[in-house]
Amino acid sequence: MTQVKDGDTSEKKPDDDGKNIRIEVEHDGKAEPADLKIDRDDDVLAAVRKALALEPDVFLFERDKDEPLSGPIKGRKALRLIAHKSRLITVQVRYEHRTIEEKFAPSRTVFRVLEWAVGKKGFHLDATSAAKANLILPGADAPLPRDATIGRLVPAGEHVLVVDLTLQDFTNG
Amino acid sequence: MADGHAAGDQMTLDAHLESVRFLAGVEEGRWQILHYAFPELVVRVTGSAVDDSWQSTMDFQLICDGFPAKPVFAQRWDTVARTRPPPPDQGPPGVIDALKTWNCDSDSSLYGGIYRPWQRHAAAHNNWTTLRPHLAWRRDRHLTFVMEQLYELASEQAAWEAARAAA
Repeated sequence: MTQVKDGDTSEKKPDDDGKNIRIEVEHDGKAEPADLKIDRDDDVLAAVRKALALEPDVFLFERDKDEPLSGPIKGRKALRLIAHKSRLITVQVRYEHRTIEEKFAPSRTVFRVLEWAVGKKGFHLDATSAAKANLILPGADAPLPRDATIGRLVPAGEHVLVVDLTLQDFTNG
Repeated sequence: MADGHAAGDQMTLDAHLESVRFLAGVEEGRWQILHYAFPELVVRVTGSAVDDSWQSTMDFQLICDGFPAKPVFAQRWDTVARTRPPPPDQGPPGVIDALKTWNCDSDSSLYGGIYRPWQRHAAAHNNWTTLRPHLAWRRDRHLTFVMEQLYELASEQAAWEAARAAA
């Protein structure tokens, strides 16, 4: 890679003639995203749908964005997309004796749900407790990775995700 | 470097920096490269509060020799003074804890870096690699794992600043 100094990130990649958008797509709950390279002059979203044989009712989101994508994709060379049949997922978070819920796009990350859950619109935890908080699937022994999108955790056809908020220190394994 | 392995670590890091997931983070405004001269990588990370009402920016220096077999050394970075700034005395507890001054277990005269299990010197501290595998570095992880951890710190800081401004 060309070494970059002083914020210049505009160097041209040796295998990129500037015509393509490179795209990673999470779909069907698969652990590894699909890698696509699509001509930017094409209808990018249509090309993604065709390449992955997505059904017409599948939404395409950009990672960590609320609104499904539509129309042309401009000014991008790299995209991370989430394909999911649900427009919104209802996340129910259980903590002590309470359960709260909110709707999130499947492209939102566990980290964003956690921020909401510990914040003033959620359980309104004090700062020290909030710093320890994690989300965990019921019965699991490790917290959810915070960079995972919640769409990966909800199979196609379902639109509810139940998680527990825990302040457990996982130093005991 | 002369041992024949250094080329491999730089090639791997270069490939990660050219990957879709890293470049998408740049285009999304989450992070940018300020300086890259292997093994040093200086990045600017911009986090946001959950409602996107507030942003906070932090600069970090990553030392990536031995990547990905060896965890990255990471510290907060002052790009003008080219040194680590003093640890913050205000902010959310998670950020204060991550950026506190502490010294390596292996050399008590050296600053240990960001106090999180994925970071080079912290990995061996308190047996964290074994006890916190979900936060530990593994050689099959991608550089964006580190970038997402830094993004979380900047976002926690943004949320804290937003709450303070609203109070």
